[in-house]
Amino acid sequence: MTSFFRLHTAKLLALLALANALLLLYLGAGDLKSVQQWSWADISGEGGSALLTLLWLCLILNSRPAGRITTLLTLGLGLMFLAWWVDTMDEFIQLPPTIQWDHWLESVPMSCGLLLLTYGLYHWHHEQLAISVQLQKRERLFRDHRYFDRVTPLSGAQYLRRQIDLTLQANEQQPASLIALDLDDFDTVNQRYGHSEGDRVLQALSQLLLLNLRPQDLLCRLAGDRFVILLPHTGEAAANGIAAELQQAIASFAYRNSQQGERIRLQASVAVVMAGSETPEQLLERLQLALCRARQPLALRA
Amino acid sequence: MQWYNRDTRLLPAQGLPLLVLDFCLQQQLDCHRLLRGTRLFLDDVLQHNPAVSPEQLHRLLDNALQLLRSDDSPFLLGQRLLPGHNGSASQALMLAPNLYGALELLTELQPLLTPLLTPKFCMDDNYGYLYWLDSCGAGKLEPALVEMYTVAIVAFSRRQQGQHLPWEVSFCHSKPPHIEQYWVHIGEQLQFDQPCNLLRIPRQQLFHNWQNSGITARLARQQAQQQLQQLPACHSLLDTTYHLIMQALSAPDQGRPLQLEGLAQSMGLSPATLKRHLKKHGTHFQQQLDLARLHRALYLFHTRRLSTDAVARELGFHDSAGLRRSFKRWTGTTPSHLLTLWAPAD
Repeated sequence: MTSFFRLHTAKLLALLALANALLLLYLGAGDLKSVQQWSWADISGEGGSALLTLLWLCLILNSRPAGRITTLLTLGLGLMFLAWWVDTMDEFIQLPPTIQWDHWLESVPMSCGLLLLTYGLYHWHHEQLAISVQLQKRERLFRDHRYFDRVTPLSGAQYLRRQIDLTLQANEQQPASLIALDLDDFDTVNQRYGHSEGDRVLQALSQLLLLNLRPQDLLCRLAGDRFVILLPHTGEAAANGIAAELQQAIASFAYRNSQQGERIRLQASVAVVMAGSETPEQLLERLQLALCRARQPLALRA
Repeated sequence: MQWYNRDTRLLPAQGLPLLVLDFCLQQQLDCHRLLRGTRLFLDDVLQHNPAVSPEQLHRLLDNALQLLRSDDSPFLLGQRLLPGHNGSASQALMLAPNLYGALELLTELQPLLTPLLTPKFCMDDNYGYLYWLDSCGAGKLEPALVEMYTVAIVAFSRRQQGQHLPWEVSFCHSKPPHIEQYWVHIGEQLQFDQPCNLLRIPRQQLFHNWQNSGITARLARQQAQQQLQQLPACHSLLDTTYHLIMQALSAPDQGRPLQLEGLAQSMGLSPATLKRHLKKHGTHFQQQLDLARLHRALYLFHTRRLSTDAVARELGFHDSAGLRRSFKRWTGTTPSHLLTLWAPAD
């Protein structure tokens, strides 16, 4: 919270100064209304709108990195706030009927603000399209940050279930396949190099897998060292081919540990299933069984 | 006192509590929020290694799981639990000659190695069985504890043996939404909604040689036993009552079923005091009696292959219908249905 105020002091102070100047202007020009004249419905409606706009402004500032779009959105919301603010002051201060500028003070900032906000949102849309391209193979059509994995830049099992469901519903005629990929003996990596190194291996591995996938594929981290890839429009033979390539890519991946630069050799077991007429849960269960059969028994220790 | 309560301060803070703390701090949790309500302080833990009660440890784990807010936390923690950082006890476990030896040590050194759940181990002709008992009134934390310790056993035995072991695991709780964590961290042979939390393994796996244990292993075990003797007590209150009830059940010629008064007397307590103690652990006499009778019935059915009539007689029921009714109440299913689930695979 303190860092938020430190970063945006100038903008917030400017807004405060403007709001204060408007208040002084109104107080100078008009007279205070008596409490009997207050209209509570208007006060709560207009004052509430002003407060909410201010809250949106803070949320935008807090969540977006600085840039052109953030500036546009901030300006737009700032002007909207000032317009609501003037509107609210109307309820407490009676201006003499000769004054006309108060109408301008309400409508000009509001319309300018709305225009700026619209312009900002339009550019935000383009920004989102660009980000979606960057998220290709990690996200498809649907977003929910609650399903993000904490270790890798991927989504987790819940997201995968939804995506399987969506894919199966969308193309009932088209085949879709799943690949499960499990690192052999990953526990040893954790034991020998530490769990944080193990996490780094998983992060690097997810990047490697993303490089080896087609644009329409989706990579998720199921749990631990197990990844699942959803391949839409893909039959079992093609999926087997991709799985074998992924296995090769992992075997020749020269990951070096961050301390000594020692190479950690990785190896993975893979399993492929083609989606039939079943629920995502049953499909995942079948995939799990296939993986158990495919998984090589660990070499006995010397 | 021959037993410890859930508020007895007996566990060295630098064992399991520090392991949990360390894990959470690595996940960037806020230390103050993590320790809230535990009456523990990080500096104190590091400098003075104070004794911690099971109750405090429950609170710490509860805080940790709530703050981590992630399905995999109990599983990741579980992987780090064994052999743990408990001095000689952990060392003895590391040096165990085979799985049988390790499980034996685990039951013997329970307060040091698995302070919150008590492992019970038994064997029949085909299998070894390890089942968990709540030792200090874990309440709603119990499923997470069972997940943690099951993963701990599976991961430790895999590490020692250098291969995946064919564990078959039953859980009391229902199939959770995060079933994939079970697949990855425990294995594929899973059953839910079962009468007890149990791991089963083919008998020959128990005696697969891990290492030839020499004098060091014996020494570590002796030192661990000394470590155990220095604790205020070697068994929790719930373990003590379970043991006494089991003892009464397996001496059927007494004729009369065990009552609260009898149990209190054999523990040297007044019935009211025992009642109060049990209440503090979130349970009561009838619940403990039912638990023990269920386990005894399962043992008799499964291992001794007795008929329903014989089991009913042994447990002091009037007839087999009474046993079936009670069984339904304890587990939601009938004895015969359960036995088909647990039949040997071959």
